[in-house]
Amino acid sequence: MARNLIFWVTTSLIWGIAVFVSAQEADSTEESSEAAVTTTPPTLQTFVDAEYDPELLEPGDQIEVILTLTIDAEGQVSNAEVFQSGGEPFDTAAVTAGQQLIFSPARRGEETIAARIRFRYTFANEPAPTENTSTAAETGENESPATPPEPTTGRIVGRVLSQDDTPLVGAQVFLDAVSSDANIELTTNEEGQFETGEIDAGRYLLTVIQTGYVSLDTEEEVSGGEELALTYRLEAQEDDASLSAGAEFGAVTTVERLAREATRRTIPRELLTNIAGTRGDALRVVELLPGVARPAFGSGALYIRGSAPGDSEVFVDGTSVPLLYHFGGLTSFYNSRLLERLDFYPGNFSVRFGRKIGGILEVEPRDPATDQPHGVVDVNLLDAYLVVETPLWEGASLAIAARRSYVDFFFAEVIPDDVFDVVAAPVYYDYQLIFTWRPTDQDRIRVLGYGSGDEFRTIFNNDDIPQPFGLEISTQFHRLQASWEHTFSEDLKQTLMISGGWTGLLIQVGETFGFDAEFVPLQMRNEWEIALHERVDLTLGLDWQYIPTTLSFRGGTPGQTEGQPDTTGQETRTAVDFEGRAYRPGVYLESNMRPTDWLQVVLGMRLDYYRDIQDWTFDPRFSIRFMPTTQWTIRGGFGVFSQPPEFRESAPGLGNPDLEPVTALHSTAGFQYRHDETWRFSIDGYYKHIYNRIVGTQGGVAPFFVNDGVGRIYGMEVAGRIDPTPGFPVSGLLSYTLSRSERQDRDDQWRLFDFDQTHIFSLSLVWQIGDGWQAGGTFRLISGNPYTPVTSAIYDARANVYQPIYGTVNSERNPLYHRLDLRIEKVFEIDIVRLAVYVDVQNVYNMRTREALTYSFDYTDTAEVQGLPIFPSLGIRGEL
Amino acid sequence: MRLKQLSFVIALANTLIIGCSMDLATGDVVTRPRVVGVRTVIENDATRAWPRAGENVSLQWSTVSDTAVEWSSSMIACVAAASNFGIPSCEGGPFAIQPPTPLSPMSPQFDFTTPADLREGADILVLGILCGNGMATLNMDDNNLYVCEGEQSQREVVLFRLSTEADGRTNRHPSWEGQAFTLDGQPWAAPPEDLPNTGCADTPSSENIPHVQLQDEETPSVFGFTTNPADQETFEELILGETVMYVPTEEELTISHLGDAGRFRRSSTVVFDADSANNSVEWNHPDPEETTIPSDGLTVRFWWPIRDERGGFDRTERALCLIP
Repeated sequence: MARNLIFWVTTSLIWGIAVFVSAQEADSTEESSEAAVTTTPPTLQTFVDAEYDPELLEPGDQIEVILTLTIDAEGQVSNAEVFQSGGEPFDTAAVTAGQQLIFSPARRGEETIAARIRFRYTFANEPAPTENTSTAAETGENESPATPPEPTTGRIVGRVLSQDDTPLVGAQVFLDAVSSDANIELTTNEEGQFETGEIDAGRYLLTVIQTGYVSLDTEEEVSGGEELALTYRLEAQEDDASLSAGAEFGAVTTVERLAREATRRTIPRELLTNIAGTRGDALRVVELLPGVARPAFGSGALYIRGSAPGDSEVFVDGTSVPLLYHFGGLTSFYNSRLLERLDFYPGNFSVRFGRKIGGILEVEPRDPATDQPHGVVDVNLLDAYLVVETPLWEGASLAIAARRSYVDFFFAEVIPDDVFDVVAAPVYYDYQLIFTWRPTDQDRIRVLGYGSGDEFRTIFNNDDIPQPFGLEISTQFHRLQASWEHTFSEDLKQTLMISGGWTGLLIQVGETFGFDAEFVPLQMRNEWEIALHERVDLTLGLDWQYIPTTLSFRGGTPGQTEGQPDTTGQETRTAVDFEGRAYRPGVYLESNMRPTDWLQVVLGMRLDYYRDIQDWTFDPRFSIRFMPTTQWTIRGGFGVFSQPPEFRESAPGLGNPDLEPVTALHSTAGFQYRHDETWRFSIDGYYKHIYNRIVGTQGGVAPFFVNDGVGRIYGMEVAGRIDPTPGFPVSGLLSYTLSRSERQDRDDQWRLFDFDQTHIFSLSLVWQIGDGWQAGGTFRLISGNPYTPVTSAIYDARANVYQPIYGTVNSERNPLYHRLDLRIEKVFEIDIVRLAVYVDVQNVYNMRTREALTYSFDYTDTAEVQGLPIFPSLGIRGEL
Repeated sequence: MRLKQLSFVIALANTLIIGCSMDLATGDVVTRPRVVGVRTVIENDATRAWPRAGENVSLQWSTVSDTAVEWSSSMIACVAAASNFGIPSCEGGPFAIQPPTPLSPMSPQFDFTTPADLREGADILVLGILCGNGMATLNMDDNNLYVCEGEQSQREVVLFRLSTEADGRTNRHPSWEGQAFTLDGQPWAAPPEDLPNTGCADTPSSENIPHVQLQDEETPSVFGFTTNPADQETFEELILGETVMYVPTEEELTISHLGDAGRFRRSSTVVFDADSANNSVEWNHPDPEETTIPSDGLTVRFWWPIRDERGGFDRTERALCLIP
């Protein structure tokens, strides 16, 4: 067990380095380890203009002189020489001015040192353009377990029609809650519509009465956070009163919230927290959805429809978050108990989402309970959490949750003393705060506060290594966001969301590698939903980001990592201290048209500006849904998706500030068959083409990155779902993806994407046995990731290392991955307390799949790097 | 050091993951003929490590082996193309070619003259093959330098990126000359050249090497060594970034630990400042179940390559007689 723990933590960290370096934003913390001594370049304090006769230049002429300046430890220029001549008299003018420049001296740690730099003078009759650009974005992380409490509120929106679809005005609709005394009486409007507003979740007896028609009695269930769209067709009260309503489609048609996207996958909350192998963590269910590839062990990265992790984004109630999982990918950052819904868009998503070309995962928090105080405590082998929620006053409620791992309490005890000195053992935490207030029927105000942190620090300091050095990894982010939802009328609704926070990432490996970045993302989204016509909705939105960024990088030469196995041989060091502001305003407009009951057409367009690279993108998108019957939906979509470079790719000195956004074309077509309220099935095919892909330069030389890559991704997704239904003990998810993801770098041959997985199959079933017992299993069968074989090695006599000689990139594949997870839970009802004991075992039969190969010093011998061994998690949960 | 730290972390992670299922060779035990470095010898000044344009250069490959070996080699030299990743390549064709050399017990050597019109600051790239107990072949038409003839031959494909003096940048070789070696605290001199592999306990030529009683793994021998602080030259290191700069940096000296039996606690030592010029490394004696120790003694050889990570190189040897 101790060894399992050690390798789990260590590999997580190592994978983490790769992921963080390749992903977008992240988060950081303290000063770097004591072994790190960073070198900081001199910075200009006093500039001196080079004097020259402007008449020497024709309009539009521009001459550059590059000087080599020697700057002493005081910051004075002790010598100035021409490195690249612009001719006389410009050389002399530049040297004369350069000798008078004053710098803040270069530093090595705290010590000021002399340095030589190149300095450019530009002579022009117009000011030469200089710019600092940056980009930043975020990836995500999170956690949680367990079955949620009863849903809080939801709503019903319905229409009452005659058999010939004529709206029935003034029909009375009565709702009686089954489990309480609550009852509601409504009357349909001119369109035959009624709307309950927010009502407590639960089952309701519903009666529709209209003079001249046969009254309808039925029962409906309202789920928390869901809008139940209903259509009732009443039979005219003629001679034969035995006809029931809407017999053709069933007496009642229950329709999910109409999707605007060609493919949206929503998992019911009851299913989210019961899937085996997730430790009750709802967000980990995402790994089982069609289109999602299995991440490298421990990385927790999200590979959606063959896209890189940085191409996809995780949102919490409209705000992007940088990470999805804590260390090791075993636990997500957001407590599942406070989760209303997960919406997953593997492609062709709405214009509401921009700046990404992959997929979108939207986490919808739920509102706290309004009936009475509730509490949950969960304790398992890795961590513990507490959730408390309570009503505050009429219409207002509050929930607070916190979780902390306790691996650090025993980590130092179980690792061998001679391995390394643990300064701070691996620890993660997260917290959530949700405040909801409904001051009127037209308003909802919600404040969210949440954050996450992971930290590990150690010093390798024993005789096994040539030189002591520290390893430190820390990721943290915190967010505070407020949203105000106001319904002006039936035809106009506004949602305003403002969020701010702090994100940081620190990775320090001795003096070798240092990456310390801080981001202060500010986001604002304002959206108006306008009903232009009963069959036409319009959504207008502003999506605004402002991300001040500071970044310190010390390491080798930056370059492409995906599809680039050969990153050895770096000798030149890079030092970049960067401050920038990514200002990215976006505006979008989307029309949702339903010309008939069986057709929905969504047209959208989005305009984005990226000040960091001074570029614009325009993304038109289109999706269509045919609903020939209530059971069948045929859907398709096509659109343009744009994404700015990651900050490391465009930061001056580290990347190429002249990069352009990446563009992808998404197309998809498929169908869904919904047999009844319990189970449904869908098949979707897709094709994506990526243009302007950012790749490394040949040989990794400056400017390091260029827009010279393309990509193509195509495949098919099969999804099946059995929803939890009273009277039916089994629920579950079926998922199969057949896909191929390819890339072309510069003029090279097409190759497979690093995480191309041809077949991804998973089946999860949950069985409600009875008497509080529940059991479930998840089986996965997935193609191994491609890898690049090492064909031989060459001895580099200067570095005294063997450098591998690689074969064709990603031309071989790791073995098929398969794994079975099991979960058993027993719930005890003790008065008002629910006590649950559960065991969740991952990789039950301890399948040690090969994740990668590692090599001997001269590449003549190999060994397997294996994935997660059997991993049991035992826990106990109490609910009030 | 630097990038090797990251390699170490990854290697450590791999070790922890793999557990005891498989021990991959780390390179400190010499079990076959190998190349462990190269020394650049410039005509008229053997202390310089970097040549200038138009100078005569001799690259002397440093080899080690646990058995007697004869070498054949073939090399080319060209101007290196700009590159930051992976295996460097030539910028144009080679300016010097060494056809396959006949088999010889001497370590291979490659002599050439640097181009007189060499671009300032350009690196020279040497690519080639060293064959132990087999003939090297050179087939420029197929662009294939990497073939050794003979089924029993040992192949080492090599590259060496040789910097040249420019803009006042120079480099000198580190040197073992005058440095002290100790074995368990006792002075340890270089061995004679005619050491037998076995029977060292009774061989006169072995009298000058220490005789050590075989110990178990819990009782390693301690090898001490010093380095010359003057060998840690200060140079201007190029640091890329938004501001490209050269900063004065002190060389780090890396000493590899190689032996033909037993195991070193670590495969190299990095001397990163003058304060750590006195160093030691533990050596675990060979396991008698894996290595036969004759009753009249086993000669164990140790090689100590030292390099400044900028192309400067030196090497020395020590030996001991292990008595069961």
